[in-house]
Amino acid sequence: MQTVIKTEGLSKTYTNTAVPVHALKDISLEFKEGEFTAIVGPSGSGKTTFLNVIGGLDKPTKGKVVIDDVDIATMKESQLFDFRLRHIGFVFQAYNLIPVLTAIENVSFIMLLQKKPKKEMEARAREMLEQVGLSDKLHERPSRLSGGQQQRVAVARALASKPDFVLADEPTANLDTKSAFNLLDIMARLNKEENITLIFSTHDQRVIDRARRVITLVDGAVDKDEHIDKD
Amino acid sequence: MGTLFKIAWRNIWRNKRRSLVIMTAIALGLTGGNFIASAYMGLMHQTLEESVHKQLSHIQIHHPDFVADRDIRYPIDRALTLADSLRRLEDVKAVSARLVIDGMVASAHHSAGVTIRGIHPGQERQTTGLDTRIEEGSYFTEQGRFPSVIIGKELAGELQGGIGSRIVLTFQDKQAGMISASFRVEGLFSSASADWEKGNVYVRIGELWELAEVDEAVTEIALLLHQDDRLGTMTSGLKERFPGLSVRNWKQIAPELEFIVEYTEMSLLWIVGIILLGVAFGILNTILMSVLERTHELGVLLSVGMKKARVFSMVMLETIMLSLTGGVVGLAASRLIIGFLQPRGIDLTLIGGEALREWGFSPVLTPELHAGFYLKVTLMIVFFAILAAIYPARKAITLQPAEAVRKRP
Repeated sequence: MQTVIKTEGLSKTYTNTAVPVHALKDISLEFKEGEFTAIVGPSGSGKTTFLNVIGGLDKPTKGKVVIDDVDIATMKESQLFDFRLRHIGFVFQAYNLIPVLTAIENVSFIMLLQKKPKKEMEARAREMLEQVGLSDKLHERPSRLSGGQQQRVAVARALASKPDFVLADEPTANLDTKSAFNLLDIMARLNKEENITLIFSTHDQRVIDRARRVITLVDGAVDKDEHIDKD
Repeated sequence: MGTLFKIAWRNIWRNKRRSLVIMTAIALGLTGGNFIASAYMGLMHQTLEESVHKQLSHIQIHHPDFVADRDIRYPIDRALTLADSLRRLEDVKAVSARLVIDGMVASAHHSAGVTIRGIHPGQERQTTGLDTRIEEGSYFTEQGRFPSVIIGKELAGELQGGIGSRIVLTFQDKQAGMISASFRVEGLFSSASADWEKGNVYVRIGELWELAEVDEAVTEIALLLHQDDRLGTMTSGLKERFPGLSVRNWKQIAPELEFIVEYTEMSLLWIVGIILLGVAFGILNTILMSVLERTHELGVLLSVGMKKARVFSMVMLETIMLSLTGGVVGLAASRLIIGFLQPRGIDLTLIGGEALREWGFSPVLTPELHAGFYLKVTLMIVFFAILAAIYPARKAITLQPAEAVRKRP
């Protein structure tokens, strides 16, 4: 399997605090195509920082993030915008969607920024919403959707543009058990069907149980990296 | 771009009350500003109309020395033939040949300095429409023992004489001898300017020729043109054709009027601009609040790859749309109010507007605003909206995506 992301000696220290905070310490990891990985650990262990750094939302203090043979840590801000748009899908904890756009408009949004043809964009958005079980909610705005439905739209949006990998920061944190399982089922299925690499941070045991690889961070360093055989 | 417009427009209506408040402020500010502007514009237009069409005419021709000395000794050479030839010009609507003499008017109660205007009643009717402004009495229809004089209502009040009363006009003849003659007041004219009513009397030119013993002398030829925009060409053409005469248009005779025409619109645009500047701070506040409330959402947009330029444009568009919506309502309301009041006029006499006549203005305002002014105001709204949007839009693009998404909405 091809390596999608590779980090080498990744460190991140926040110095704008009273005492410097070492959020990430010398992390070297590789993520292969199609992996379904959970980054776990207690609060403050560096999960979100790690996702931000490999997603190009934050710059490491030291080390490399190599995606597609390019170290994104050396990219300029404007290049990073473009890189994120073309290569990475994001799902955040909550309030992922643009409130003034309907479900189908939200799903089309990234493709619109990528300047995809309108027909192709619409067909793909419909297909993705169908895949996440929301074909009857195409024209609903987020305020008329439940939290679980909103996260499903967010997942559909992240995957619609066929990114190299999807980063999800605690996607089930605000969901009830039923909605969380439903979302996880969808993510797992899409991971298989679309062969998209999924990396998500969580401390939700329900999510951890579904992952095929679990990386545990403690105080910004990798404590454990387990591959779990689900077959 | 279409989606950006859609998002921006829908964003405006996320907080309906807040948007409606600022839109109302823009609409009210504009309506007020435009109404004030229309009142001033109407006032200035009335003044110009009064001055050009009822007093000065477009162009006046004099003997060059008459301009400085206003003396009967400086008539225009072969004036009646000249007037006839001018009347035949295509651009000329009417011509009035006058004998203008500065003199005195006296009644049993009062005397005052006046300009005595010897006129052909028919020519004056066509040139200044004097006959339409007769408030009392008649316009040179009587032939009595005493020659007729038409005086202003203000002057009649000062002389304490009405229709049929006798007044004495005194002026110098060509040899600087004094001539006095009794005239019977046949009519009283009104004017928007109290000064004009006080300072001018009209008599038949033939009677003045006889009294002054100047055969067919004319000191002033006034020309009314068909179109205002031919003024410059006609003035220069006549100057060239008659180099021995003084040819001046109303802008040269009354440069203060020219100043009014040139600068009124500019000053009014400044007034509306100052109102809009005040409103712009309100707009800035509204948009800034909206941006700060959407920190998380903007963070998501920046995270997923929406470029800063697009985010900047989105905030700009929101501001311009918000401002233009309020602006269009304000412009429409101004248009309706001004359109309603224009044919009716606003009578200021009840609130002491009569004093305006002392300054040469009519006490009945006719508000008016031309399409160009509305267009300029619309452009100003867009300008101030852009100005107001810069700070919030900059604020939006200086957000760090990773930090912004952590902010809860």
